[in-house]
Amino acid sequence: MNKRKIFYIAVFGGLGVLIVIFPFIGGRYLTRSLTSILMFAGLAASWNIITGKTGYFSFGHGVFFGLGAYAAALLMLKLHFPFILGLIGGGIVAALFAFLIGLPILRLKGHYFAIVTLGIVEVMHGIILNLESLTGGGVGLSLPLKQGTIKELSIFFYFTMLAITALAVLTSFLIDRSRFGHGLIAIREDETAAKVLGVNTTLYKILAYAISAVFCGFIGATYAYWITYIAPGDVFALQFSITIIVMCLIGGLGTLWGPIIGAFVFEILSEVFWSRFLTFHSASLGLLMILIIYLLPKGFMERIVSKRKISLKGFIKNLKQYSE
Amino acid sequence: MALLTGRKVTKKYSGLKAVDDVDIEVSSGEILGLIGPNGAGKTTLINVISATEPITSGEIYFEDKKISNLKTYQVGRLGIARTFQIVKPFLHLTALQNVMVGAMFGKEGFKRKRKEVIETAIEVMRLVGIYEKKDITADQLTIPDKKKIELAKALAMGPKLLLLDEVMAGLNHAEVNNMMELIQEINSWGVTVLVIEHILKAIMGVSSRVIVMDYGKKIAEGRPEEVVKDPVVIEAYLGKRYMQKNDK
Repeated sequence: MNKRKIFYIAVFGGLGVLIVIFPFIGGRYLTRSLTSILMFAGLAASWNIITGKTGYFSFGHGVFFGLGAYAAALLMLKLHFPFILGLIGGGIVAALFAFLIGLPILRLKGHYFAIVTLGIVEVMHGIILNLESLTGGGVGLSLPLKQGTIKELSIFFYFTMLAITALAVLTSFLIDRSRFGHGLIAIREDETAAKVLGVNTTLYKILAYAISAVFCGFIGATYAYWITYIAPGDVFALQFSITIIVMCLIGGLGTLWGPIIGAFVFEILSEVFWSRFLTFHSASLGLLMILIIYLLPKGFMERIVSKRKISLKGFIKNLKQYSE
Repeated sequence: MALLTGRKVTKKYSGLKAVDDVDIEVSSGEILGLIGPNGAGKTTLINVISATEPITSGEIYFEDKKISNLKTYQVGRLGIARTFQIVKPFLHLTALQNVMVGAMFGKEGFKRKRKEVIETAIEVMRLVGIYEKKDITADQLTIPDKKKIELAKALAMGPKLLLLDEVMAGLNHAEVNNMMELIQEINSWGVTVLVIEHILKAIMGVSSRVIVMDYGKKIAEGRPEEVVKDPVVIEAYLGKRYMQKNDK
């Protein structure tokens, strides 16, 4: 075993231990922030399963998050299911929806697919808003409160988010090693060539889309129970869909840890900018994002893997390459 | 025995018949050459056989099973592999990973475990002569190497019928000879080969039979040395100068 390996094991082991003991030692504010980061990390990791691997750019993953939230809320309110069944229900509803909608839309290529996914969020937003008798329309739904002290609740939601996110990363890892995963990457690289080799491209894309949706559904369900109140404008906000894309781009599209790193970098920067430049928060954060994309077009993962230096020369090169 | 039979195969593009009523029979174990001028419909015929493009009319049978109504991936899994004239490597994967994808799918791939996939990929790459470049990503490879990757990917599928679309274009003299030997070796293990080629010398050297196409139609068929003497072929493809040169 060489020094570098030991170094990596120490760093990742240390981070792992820190993540597990964090809610017991960190304050309530920090635990809450970290729960939120884990939520975005999980969403980004699941988005990465379809877009990172197959190259089909989904601009509307928020729809699965919102569906999971509403499915869990309705199961718990109308049928008095316990949270765990609401959570599973949220995942199943999101996956089923992805499967059914995937049948027609995953036959679309490139930009057409991206535009349609964008539209689906808005359509679902409208449907939920207008199904007032069931969803409460614009008023939203209040979920049953979980019993326990504030400390217990924050620990519960922290670990639920952590578990789902870990499961999403593990799934992504297992897919990468499987025949299925190689099929997905072949689709991203050249769909015609993939078909010729014998990859059932339509089925693979739909499966990847559904798997990706399951985790978004789980996270949506947990979010609903955590925040205890959901409204269409919140859970179907386009910002969810866009934020997770930015996170994956920062971290490294298609890589295993990229979405997680991206979520942490994005959220921490966002917090810092909130507290320092309140009025220019969005503008300065946006500027920083542009800089990151130019300096690290393939995300932080590439920097870690290839040890590429961040330099002015690289910046100019990227500028030339991406501004043609 | 006919491995592949096409009857009245036709492919129309809004009025233009790229392949027009072509009957084709590929016998098990042979190397069949497909020649003709540019735009004759050779690649389109291969596209239709491999179901890369849907057939307009006519029927294709592979081992007595109708395949002209199947999807691309189904045809691939039955044991028909192909290469593309404009190569389609998976650019961001290494050469080995490219071939591994071929070894995971195709006719034999679904039975293979991960270890066997890697072994098959390495074996095929050694044979094609691209093993030394296994860790280079495909976008860094030269065109001849990309062509070799393309061939290795197709071979790793474990096909019964291999459709080669101008694998020798862009190769130098020595490489062409290498490729000819390679095609013969592949054929010697029982893989039937249908090869489109512009380099006439190459096709005469390897194929036991050739089909000549022009304007979407089959205009001649037979042993290579007979076909090149056919006046119709000379008129359409080879040109009079070819005859004069050979007469000298």
